[in-house]
Amino acid sequence: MMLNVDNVSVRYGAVMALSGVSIEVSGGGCLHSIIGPNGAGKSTLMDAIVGKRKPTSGRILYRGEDITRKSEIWRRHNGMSRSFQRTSIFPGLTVREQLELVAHKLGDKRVDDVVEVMDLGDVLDVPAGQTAYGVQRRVDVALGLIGNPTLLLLDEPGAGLSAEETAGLFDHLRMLVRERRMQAVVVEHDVDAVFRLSDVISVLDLGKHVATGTPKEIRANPAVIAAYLGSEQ
Amino acid sequence: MTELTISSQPLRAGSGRLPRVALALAVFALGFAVPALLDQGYLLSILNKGLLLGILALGIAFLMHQCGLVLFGIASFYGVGAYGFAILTETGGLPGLPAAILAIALCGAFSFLVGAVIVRTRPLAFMMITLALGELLRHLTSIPELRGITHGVDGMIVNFQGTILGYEVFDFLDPAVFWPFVWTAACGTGLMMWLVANSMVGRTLRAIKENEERMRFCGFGTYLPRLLAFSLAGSIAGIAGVLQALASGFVSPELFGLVTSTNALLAAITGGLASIAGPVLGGVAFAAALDEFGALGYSQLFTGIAVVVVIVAMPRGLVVTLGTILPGLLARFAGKGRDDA
Repeated sequence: MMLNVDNVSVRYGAVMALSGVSIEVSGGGCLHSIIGPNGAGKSTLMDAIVGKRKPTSGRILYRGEDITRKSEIWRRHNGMSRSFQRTSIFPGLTVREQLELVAHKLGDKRVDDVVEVMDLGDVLDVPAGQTAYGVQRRVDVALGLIGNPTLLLLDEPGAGLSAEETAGLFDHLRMLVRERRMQAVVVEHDVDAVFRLSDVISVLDLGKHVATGTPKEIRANPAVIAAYLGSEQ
Repeated sequence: MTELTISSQPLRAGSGRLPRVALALAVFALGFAVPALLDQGYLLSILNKGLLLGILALGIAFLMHQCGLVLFGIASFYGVGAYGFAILTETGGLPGLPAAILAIALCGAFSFLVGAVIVRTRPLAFMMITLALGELLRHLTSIPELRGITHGVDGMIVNFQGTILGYEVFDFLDPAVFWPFVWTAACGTGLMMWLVANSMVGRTLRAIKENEERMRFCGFGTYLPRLLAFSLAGSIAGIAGVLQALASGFVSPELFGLVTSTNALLAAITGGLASIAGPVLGGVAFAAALDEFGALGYSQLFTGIAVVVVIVAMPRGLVVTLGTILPGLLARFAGKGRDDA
């Protein structure tokens, strides 16, 4: 098992953002999406997985190892990578400078591949902050792809993008996951894209795990319909 | 609205059509001819003071530009360099050159220890702690219990055995003798800053300044690079401190004072943070302004007004602004000359 979220709870003061969530993510060439209404705890779960937020209780196992207390730096050097809900890049550095910097740190000599896959060739020498928002999203994902991670966590990669751009980005991701045999875990609001492209979907609601299954299973799950999808689905 | 900008581009050595290396070497070589060109020792002494202030300003500008850290209390490290040299030569009995090298190294170690504690703090706390450190050291050098070493508020006469590169201690009081040392130090520190800023370390520092969280998620430790940058800035202040001790032949607790720190900070901002030449020329301009306005009896008043005017009118600093305006003016002037002809 690539990732095992084992009975994880996260509390913010009096608010229980995650309550005993357990999700298993199998490894290799699979796109696992996490969906749920606003306030379901999706981003908190992502933060707990990548080490930004320490769980109040429970464990995060990565390739069988308990990494609950490991730093985000350790996680990145061991194949776990993430992108952010709000674009998180280095606006004053050119696209080339930031990709090279991270590649240099992670010993990745295949930056050209990432540039090609994320279609950044035309903006390499432009300060990232001066590029269009859609490009910045791609830079964000590209930073996560450097170092050939085995587990890529993407927090709403389509946020702020048009439906067309989101579909394009998901197509890219789908291709990457297949070609590089990496595991992607995606939190996304665009339900159509999620159901079209995901291999596995987990649903959260009010900080609790509702269901995990294939898109077909999730569509038919009464608890999911009641909590999230609604009767028209 | 006027806004001081701290950009994330690498520190620039300057611009022009000549290859940069050749231009820099030519400027460096020509610098040694300055004492021969200025027949007034008085002007040379102002230049010396300006370059000393410029070296301090370089350290501040480096840390601001690369790390976004405002080193408000750079006088702490300046004073440690100066006192370190004076104490090592007097109490330690070391010859001049080894004492100077050791004093700078000690200042680097001191910066490292201070930085280890404070580079993690928030920007305001960082600023205030460095400021408080200067005041703390100023009092420490003044207390009677340490008078045997520091000579208290009376300060210390700098004296060392032997020579530094053939010059005895009193020779350095001559501005023409001191000039090559301070010129070499200013150019050397400028070169070092430029090399660091344009290396992968410099890029790492600017990326940390821009988005520290993302850097950690990209696998970078963010503490050590900032600590090293802080230590470098402190060491540079130590170099200026040793040179100050040589130039004046005297060290006193006032070296740690607020005035030293604020003058260097204002020189850096006035000259501009985004280039190597900016802080150095800012130091020279600031020293010249202090002297000129001091002659009128209103040194701080007029210097303050001048600084405000420069910051409001030229938020990117003297060097960048002049570098932007001058080529256009020169081209216009040349065009007008051709038309007249």
